[in-house]
Amino acid sequence: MRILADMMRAIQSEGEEGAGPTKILYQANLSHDRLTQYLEELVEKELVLESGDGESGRVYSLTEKGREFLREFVKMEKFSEAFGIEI
Amino acid sequence: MQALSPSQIAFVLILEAVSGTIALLVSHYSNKAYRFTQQKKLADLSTGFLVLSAGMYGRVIGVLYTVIFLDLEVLGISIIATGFMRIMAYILFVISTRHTVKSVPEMVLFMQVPLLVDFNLELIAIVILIIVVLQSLMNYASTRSRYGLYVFIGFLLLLLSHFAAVMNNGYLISQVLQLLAFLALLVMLYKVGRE
Repeated sequence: MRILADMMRAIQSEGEEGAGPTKILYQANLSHDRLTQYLEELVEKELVLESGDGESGRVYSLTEKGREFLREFVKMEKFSEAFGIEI
Repeated sequence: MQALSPSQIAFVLILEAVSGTIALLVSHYSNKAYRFTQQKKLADLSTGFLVLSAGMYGRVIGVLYTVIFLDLEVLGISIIATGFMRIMAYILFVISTRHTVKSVPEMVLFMQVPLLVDFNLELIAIVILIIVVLQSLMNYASTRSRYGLYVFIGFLLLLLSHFAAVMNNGYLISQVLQLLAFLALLVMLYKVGRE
């Protein structure tokens, strides 16, 4: 959950244009294999939209469902942190 | 311990019911957070607030039953049950948060009931709650989160309410402090919801 949220934050930080895999990889501190696996999961869950052609040209942006998910996650994160619970 | 008049008891019951409702709201939000994140500690926190809320409503129902049926035995049972439920709830918090005058006979009845708390259970609750307060203070000190501050203030006020409950003439004050504690948590919930 935390990893997915970190990836989505990395994507969101790039604004409307979206983020490439390398940017997400560094910001979420992931290995390439795990990045691919989690990106597939995000796309499958319709939280992230994949666009562009080719390996280097792929760009990921948040869907409306993804933005809503991230907003909800931030609320849950703040609530949990208030009680000293890490999520 | 002070003796409470029926009107004071009615006031206390209202405060207790409001506090119990806020505890139920926090439990609901914790459960929602648990379902979202699958973090088990949030489930423990939710159960803690649910048990706390059930204990408060139990005491309200116990006192109301006593008023209606003049049965002191039920009152005694509800007070002991509430005490145990509070302790259960506080243990769960420790685990999850580590970082109108009606008639003379009734009035006489309540004058014979000097307190709505069990002294020994209150002392146990205080000891456990001190740990909860320290944990919430450490959490606030490390995160400097304003939401963490509300939780710390909430637990601190709850602790103070238990201290007031075991002091002479402190029961009404303890109920007000308890309500303030839950209001602090309610403000935290409201602000998180607006995040």
